[in-house]
Amino acid sequence: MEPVIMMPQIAPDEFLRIFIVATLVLVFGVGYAALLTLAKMGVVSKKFAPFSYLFWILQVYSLYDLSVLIHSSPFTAKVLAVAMVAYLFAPHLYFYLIEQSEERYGNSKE
Amino acid sequence: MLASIKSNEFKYESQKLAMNYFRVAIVLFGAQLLMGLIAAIQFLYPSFLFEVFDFNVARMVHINALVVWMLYAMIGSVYMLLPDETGIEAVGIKLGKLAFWVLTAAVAVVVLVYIFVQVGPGNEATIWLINEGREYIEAPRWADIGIVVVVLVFYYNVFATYTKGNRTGIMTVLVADLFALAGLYLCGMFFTDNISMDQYWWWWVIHLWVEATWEVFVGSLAAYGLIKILGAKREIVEMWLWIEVLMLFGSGILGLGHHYFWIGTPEYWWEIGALFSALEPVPLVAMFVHVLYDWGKEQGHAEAGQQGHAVNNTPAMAWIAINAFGNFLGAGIWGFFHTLPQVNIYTHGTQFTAAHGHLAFFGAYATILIGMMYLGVQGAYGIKKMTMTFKTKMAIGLIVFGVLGMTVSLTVAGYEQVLVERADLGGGWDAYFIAQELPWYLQAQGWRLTMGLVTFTGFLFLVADLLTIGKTEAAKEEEVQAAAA
Repeated sequence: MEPVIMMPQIAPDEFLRIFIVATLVLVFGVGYAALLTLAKMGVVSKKFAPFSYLFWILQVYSLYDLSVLIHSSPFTAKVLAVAMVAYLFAPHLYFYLIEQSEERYGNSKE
Repeated sequence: MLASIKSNEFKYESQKLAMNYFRVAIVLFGAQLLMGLIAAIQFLYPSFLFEVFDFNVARMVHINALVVWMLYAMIGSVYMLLPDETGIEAVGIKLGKLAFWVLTAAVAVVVLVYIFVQVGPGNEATIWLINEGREYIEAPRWADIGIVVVVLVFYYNVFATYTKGNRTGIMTVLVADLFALAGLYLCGMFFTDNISMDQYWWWWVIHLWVEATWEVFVGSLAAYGLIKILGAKREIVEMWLWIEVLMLFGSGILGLGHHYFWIGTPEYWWEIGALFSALEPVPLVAMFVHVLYDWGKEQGHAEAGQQGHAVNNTPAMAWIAINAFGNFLGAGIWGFFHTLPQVNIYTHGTQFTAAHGHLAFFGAYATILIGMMYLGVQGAYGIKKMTMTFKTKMAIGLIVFGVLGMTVSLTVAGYEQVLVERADLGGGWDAYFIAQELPWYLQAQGWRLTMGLVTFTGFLFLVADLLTIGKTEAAKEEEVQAAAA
C-alpha cells in the first residue's frame, strides 16, 4: 500500500506572515550581498561593510521563522542552516575570484 | 527599427537577419498583450466575446505568443552577437534566411488557426492540424516538427560558426545551452497514456527551459551586453558567467521538483523540489550583483578619466539593469514565496502563479530581449553612443509600472483565493467559484486590467521608440560631428 503523506495544515491567519517572511529572506539576502558589493566598489564607504552582516543575521532569522511557520522537517531545517552558513561566505568567495582575475587579466587588452 | 531595413550599417548578413527576427518578435509581443487584455476583460465580464473568442483561446494565444516572441527575440539576439563574438559571418546564412521565412509562415498559419478554428473534435487530425492541447506548447504536430527543423538549421549555423571562428567563453556557453534548449523541446512532443508520466516529461520543457536553459541564455546575453555597452573586461565577465552557469544549472535542474509536488510523482521529489527551489534565487542574486558591479566599476573608471567606458547605449543598459532587478523580483521573490510544498499546496494554480509568471517572464526575459533590440538598432544605424529619448523613458516607466501593478493585483487576488478558496473552503468546485465572486478578487482583477492597459500604452511608446530612435540619434550624432569639424 502506498504511504499516505499528510501535509502540515497552515492556519489562514499565518499566510500573510509566511509570504512576508519569505520575501524578507530574499530582501535581506540581497541586502547583504549588495551592501558588501557597494562597499567593495567604493560606492559607499567601506565603514558600512560590517553593517551588511546585520542583513545576513536578519536573513537567518527570517529563514528560521519561515521554516518554523511552514513546519519544515528536521532534515530540511538542518540543510537550511548549512545553506545560510554557505551564503555567509559566498560573496567573499566571489570577491576573491574577482580580485584574482583582475590581477591576472587587469592589464590585458579586450 | 523598420527604417533600419533601408538604413543598414551592419557588416554582416547575420545581423541583418537578427533585425528580421526582432521585427517579428515585436509584432508577436503586441499580439500577446492584446490577447492578455481580452482575457483580463473576460475575468471581469465573463460574457465578453463568449462563444466568439472564449477565455481559453485568448489565454492560449496570450501564452503561446509570449513563448514564440521570446524565441524569435532569442534567435535574433544570437544572430546579432554571433559575428561579434566569432569574428566571422554566420556559416550557412542563406539557410538561416530561408529558415526565418519558413518559421514566420508557419507561425502565421498556427496563429490564424488558433484564432479562427480554435478547437477541433479532439481526434488525431486535431493534434496534427489544430492544437496539441498541451498547455503553453499547444502548436499542432506539423508545426512542432517544423519548429524542430528550423531550430536544427539555426543550431547548425551557430555551431558551425563557433567551430570556424573565435571560440569565446560566451559562445561556448551559448553553444552548449542552445543544444540543451533545443533538445528539451523534444520532451514535449510525445504523449504517454499515464497523465502523471505525461506531465513529468512535459515539465522538462517548461521548467528546464525557463528556469535553467533560458536563464543561462540570459546570463550569456547580459555578459555580451556588458562587454558591448560598457566595455567591461571579457575575462571577468566570462568568469561571472561560468559561476552563474554553475549555480543556475545546479539549482535550476533539480528545482524542477517543485512542479512534481502534485502530479503523482514519488514523495522524494518534495524534499528535492523544496531544497533546490529554495536555492534558485541565489544565482539571481549573483546576476543582480554582477551587473551592478560591472556597471559601477566601468562607469567609475570612465568618470575618473581612467581606462574604462561610459555607457554607450543607455536604453539597452537601462533594460539590462531592469533585467537584473526584475529577474530577482519576479523569478526570485515571487517564485520563492510560493514554491515550498507546505505553501504551494495552497497557492498552486491560484493567481499567485499568474503573478509570478507575469513578473518573472517580464523581469527575466522580456527586459533583456528588448535591450538586445536597442543594441540591434544602434548597430543598424552605426551610432556610437545612443541615449534615451522621451519615448524610451515613457516606455520603460509605463511598462515597468504596468507589469508591477499587474503583479501586485494578481498577488492580492491570489492571496484571497488562498484564504477563501483553499484554506477556508477546502479547494473544492464551489469554493473555486465563490472565491472568484468576492470583492477582493474582483477589485484586484479590475486593477490588473487597468495596469494591463498601462503596460500596453508603454508598449506603444516602445514600438514608436524602436522605430524612430535610430534615425533621431544618428542625425544627432551627425550634427555633433559636423559642429566639431
